[in-house]
Amino acid sequence: MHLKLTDVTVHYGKVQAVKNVSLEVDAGDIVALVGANGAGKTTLLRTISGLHPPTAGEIRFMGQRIDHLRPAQIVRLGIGHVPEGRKVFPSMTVLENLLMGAYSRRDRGSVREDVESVYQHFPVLAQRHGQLAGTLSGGEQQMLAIGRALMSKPKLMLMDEPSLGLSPIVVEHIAEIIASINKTGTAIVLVEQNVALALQLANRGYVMATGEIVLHGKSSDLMQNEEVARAFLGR
Amino acid sequence: MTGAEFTQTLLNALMLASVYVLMASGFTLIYSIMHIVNFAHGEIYMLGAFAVYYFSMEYHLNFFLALVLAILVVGVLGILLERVLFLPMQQAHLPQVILSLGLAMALQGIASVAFGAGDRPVDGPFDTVLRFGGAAISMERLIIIPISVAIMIALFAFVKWTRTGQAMRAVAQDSDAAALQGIDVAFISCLAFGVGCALASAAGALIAPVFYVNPFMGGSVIMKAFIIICLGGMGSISGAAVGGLILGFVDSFGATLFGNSVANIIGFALLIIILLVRPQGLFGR
Ligand SMILES: Nc1ncnc2c1ncn2[C@@H]1O[C@H](COP(=O)(O)OP(=O)(O)OP(=O)(O)O)[C@@H](O)[C@H]1O
Ligand SMILES: [Mg+2]
Repeated sequence: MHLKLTDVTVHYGKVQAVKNVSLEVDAGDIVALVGANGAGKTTLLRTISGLHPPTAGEIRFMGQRIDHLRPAQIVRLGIGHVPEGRKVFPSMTVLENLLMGAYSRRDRGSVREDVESVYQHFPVLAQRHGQLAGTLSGGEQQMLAIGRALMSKPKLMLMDEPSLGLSPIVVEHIAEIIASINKTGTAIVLVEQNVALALQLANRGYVMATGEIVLHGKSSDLMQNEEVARAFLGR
Repeated sequence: MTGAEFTQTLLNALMLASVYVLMASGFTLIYSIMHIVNFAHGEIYMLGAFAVYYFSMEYHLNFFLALVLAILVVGVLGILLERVLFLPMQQAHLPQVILSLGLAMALQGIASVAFGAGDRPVDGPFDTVLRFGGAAISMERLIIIPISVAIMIALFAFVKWTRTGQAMRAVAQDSDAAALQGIDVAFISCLAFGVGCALASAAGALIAPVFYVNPFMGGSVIMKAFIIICLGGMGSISGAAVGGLILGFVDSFGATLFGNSVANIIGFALLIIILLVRPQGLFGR
């Protein structure tokens, strides 16, 4: 597993949202991607997943160029995506949402087992398996969105602000889950407003501002960095 | 209203509702996936009627076979129209809606030139007339009801239980999230347009023996479909089914009791009331 972005640029019409971004993720990594509102983090993740094509640059996943593949092909290669705002299917049940997560898989036989293992991560989803996703609380929807992405058995998981709008207790639970997903060998790109949390979980980090990477390095170093501390950690 | 009149009107209502439900469920399916109002839907219905006319009257095929062929041929035409005309517009909704308006006019024009503007009769599968205590209804009208019910059951089963149907529901609810699960959204759009057209074609083909077939028959029925999906909730197939039933009864009983024009007015009045009281429609989210 290796993701490598080289000089990726993305536009919305004439507006440049991401500028010459280069970024790497190795097997086993948790990479934090932080930055202010509108920095281009979501755009970058959407581009990696093929939802929005880049205007320049190259994206390689495990050696293969993926920057002009369709989202469906990219999921099949092993990139899962927990989108900003959760985006669960509101009129489907919890179970149906999880099964949609396995849509891209060819080994249908083991899907049921994987539903069970998601239920072990998130017992609350097991309790609510027949409930419509639109009626879940924010935290439950976030767990469902993560569970759904796990169902594709990703090698790399892109997570866009999983802690947004959740209570501190739920955030802590989500953080544990992220760490445990990573322990099973899935690399993670974690976009977070909660920079302290992201840097705590991650081994490396990138800081974005107005579409560009302005800083990157080991997360322990970033935590010590004065600019990061001032801008994001409230120190 | 006598008992016989009532029975007659009731059966008519069910027949009309059947056709409305087919028409509106295709219309709403296309809306739910592509987020466009397909103004050409009435003309697709007209093509379904002409298809059954040609297969059964010109090529002398059995009516039911002609019906199946009409559904398939127009369904495939829908798929082609989506691929060639709508897909290149990259989900730019307003241009697509305007395209569908242009397509409606073009199809009407082409049909007038190719088939002629006059009315064509289509012979139904049966010429028996059933009598229920004073009420008389022809079998060719009655048969519309079970066929429509069967098609709707098949549609619901497809959407609920097949993998592709589930993918359609996912795209309707959130197309980006659907793409992230590995669903080919462009394929689903194309399929939805094809299925929507097939349903309109079924409606046109089933009604063909009851009314005459001509190139302009789609004009009034699209207004009905529009009222129905606003009533039921844009994008909801259950809404289209319930809305279609309601409008079928309003039109049939309204026409028997007060005449056709009043029935039309009642339909629109109902629409206005619903839009005021429950703007998202009965089943809308
Ligand atoms: N669909 C869109 N059309 C046009 N511009 C967009 C669109 N989505 C985002 N942008 C613009 O692109 C830039 C980057 O936005 P993006 O959502 O990627 O930022 P972000 O870092 O994820 O922000 P946030 O922390 O608020 O989620 C912003 O200036 C935004 O206004
Ligand atoms: Mg964002």
